[in-house]
Amino acid sequence: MRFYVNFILLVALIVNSQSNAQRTKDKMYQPLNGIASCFRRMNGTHQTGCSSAKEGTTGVVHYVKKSSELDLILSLDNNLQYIPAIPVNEFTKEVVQKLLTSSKISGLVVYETNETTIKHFSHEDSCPNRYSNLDGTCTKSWNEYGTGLLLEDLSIPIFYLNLSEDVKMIKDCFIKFNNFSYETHQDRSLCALELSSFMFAAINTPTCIRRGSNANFNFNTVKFCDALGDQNVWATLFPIAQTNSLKYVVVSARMDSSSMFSDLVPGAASPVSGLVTLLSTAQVLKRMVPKYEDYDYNVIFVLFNGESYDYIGSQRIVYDMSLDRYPVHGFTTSNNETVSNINLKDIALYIEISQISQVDQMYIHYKKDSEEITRMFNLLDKNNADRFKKSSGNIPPASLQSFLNEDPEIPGIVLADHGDTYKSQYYHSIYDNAANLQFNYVNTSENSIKVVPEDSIQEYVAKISTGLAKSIFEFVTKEQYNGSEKADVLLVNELFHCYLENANCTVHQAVQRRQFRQAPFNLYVSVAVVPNIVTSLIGLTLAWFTADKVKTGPCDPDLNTDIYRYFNMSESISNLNSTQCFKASMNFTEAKSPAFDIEDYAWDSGKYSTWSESVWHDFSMRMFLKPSKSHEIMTISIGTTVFVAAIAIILFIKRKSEVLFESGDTTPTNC
Amino acid sequence: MDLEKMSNENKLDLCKWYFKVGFVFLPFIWAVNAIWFFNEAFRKPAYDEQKQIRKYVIFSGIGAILWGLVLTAWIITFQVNRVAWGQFADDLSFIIPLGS
Repeated sequence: MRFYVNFILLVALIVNSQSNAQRTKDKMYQPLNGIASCFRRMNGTHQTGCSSAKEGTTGVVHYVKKSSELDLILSLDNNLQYIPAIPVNEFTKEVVQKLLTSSKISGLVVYETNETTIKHFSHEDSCPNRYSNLDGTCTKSWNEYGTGLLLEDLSIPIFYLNLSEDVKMIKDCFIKFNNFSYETHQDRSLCALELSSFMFAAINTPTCIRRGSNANFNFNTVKFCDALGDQNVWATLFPIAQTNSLKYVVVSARMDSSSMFSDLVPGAASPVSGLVTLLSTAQVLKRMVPKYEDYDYNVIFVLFNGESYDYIGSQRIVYDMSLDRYPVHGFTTSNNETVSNINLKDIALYIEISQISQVDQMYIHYKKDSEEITRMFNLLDKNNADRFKKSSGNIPPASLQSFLNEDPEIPGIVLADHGDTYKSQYYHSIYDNAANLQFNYVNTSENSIKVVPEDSIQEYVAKISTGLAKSIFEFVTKEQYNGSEKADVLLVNELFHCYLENANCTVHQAVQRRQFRQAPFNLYVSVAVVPNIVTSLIGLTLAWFTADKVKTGPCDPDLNTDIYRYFNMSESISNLNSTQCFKASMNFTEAKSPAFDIEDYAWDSGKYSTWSESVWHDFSMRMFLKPSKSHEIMTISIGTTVFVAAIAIILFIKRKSEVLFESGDTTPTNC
Repeated sequence: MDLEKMSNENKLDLCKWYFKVGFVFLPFIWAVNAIWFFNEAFRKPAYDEQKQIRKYVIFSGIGAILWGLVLTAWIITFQVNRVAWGQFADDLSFIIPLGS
């Protein structure tokens, strides 16, 4: 008999294990995949962004195509909470504010749509990095259509949905269960969503850092937040050891961008256009002047990280420079000679490459005129077919602001495609992408015609970088450039492709000699404890462009010194399989705000960037059928009744056990 | 321990001991005392020590209730003001709740 029962159980187990081993409570939900979520960041005084409730926020779906359709649910007289799904073109500040003030709204889903073109979409401040800029900078609305929503504390979870099947699933469910007879919503089953984006940290950066530390009674130390940051990149045109006492021409750009939704930070106009221009300029300049010959200046290329969050990278460099420890504190060469660090006073001219797009008129922004700036302007104007126009007074938000904040006398210029307002209408948003930069990749590997169109952004950036490289050459050497070197438009084409469309591009394969994911990188700076792979790739690319070729074939092992780093890289993008040994003066420095390193830093002082990002567990979005109120009450009533009845029966059986069960042994058990 | 098997004298000693111990910031001991000896103090037929036991039971009960009120008031105050009190409240916390 026992054998028989066990056999049955075993068979049942085997049959059951072949079916889907999913828990019943999970079977009630339909997970949605193509999601990106808004999350929480904090600065010294405030929290910004979104968080769901700890167990996820739920609400009844309301799918709309126009935000005006939302009035219907806002005016409903019931106790239900709703999660509207709106198309991305309706995701405006006005709509969000209207939803936030209503108690009927528990969350928001923004779905991708191709039906309308969006003329402008930027939720960054109208004056980015407002509180870290020089006085007067924000008298202009640089980011004209910026709503500032990125800097607000949004009390509901917001998700972005970019998978059309998932959007359709929500729409179908909404039409089937919700989109009729709204007055009876409370009495029937409805299609609902559960949004999970619970944020551990709250209030502000000092609070979450303090809570995460081991102070006082706090037994169960959890990490609440992390400082934003990554690494800056620097490379010099001439090896830094040869040019100890020289002044520097700094050529800089930024590497990071931002947007409201996690992992969707394309950053085409800012930073990729400027970044590619800098890399291309470096590559041409190295070919124009391969060796140091008694010039008055050296050139240092600097790429800043975390500039979207109150200039983390540039503030750090200025801080390190003022402590005389940039790029590396007291480092020595192999000949035991100490190389002097670069200080603010060593900057002869600072050139920042900001957003670049195809415009007839480029602008040179500067705060105060100086001899160096005038010289550079004349050179740029000559070498770029009178394309440049001077714009003095207030400079746009740029890394130069950090330098001028410390020393207003530094001669600095910002090269940009815009005058008083940005040309890019998608600053720091999910729409700052290749399409909106008018970038069309020319696939040279498949296409037999290897010609980039004359009116393309690639051609434009190549021209600008050739002119810029020529100007820097003439500034440094004080000679006229008579050579024929110019920027390689195919390389520019490839660089844009690397950062905007496909990380597994030829440049990355050449410098890193491995395969990458066939997708663009996310250009959000992210937290300092996790290094971004894109930063190291940009560094290697800059190293490749500014390095000296040592020999054909792989480098000898263990050659690296503090100043020189040796890399095995391909000869060129058209010859990926060749290996050559390159000697580069490129390295990384920390891009973490000094606020996190200074002891007892006054967090509300506003001197340094204080941005941190909350820790979270997971982002998820699920759809389910929410039962009606009466159904819920019935379920809990039945449960309670069964529970009470079970207790009653057990009590009864216990009391009557002597009658009910015949006892074999009548003697009581010994205590 | 079974009160049924104890002498009345021992019961008094025990009740008194519990009452005294409760003064060392142990309101739960008072609560236990009040509940445990309630039958002895009020329901049992009169015996010599009962009057004293009754006294200790009453005072233990009052003490426990007072403690309960004070603790409840503090807990409500603390939970309501935890976020506003900032570092002070964090310093008093053993486990800091996530997300607020």
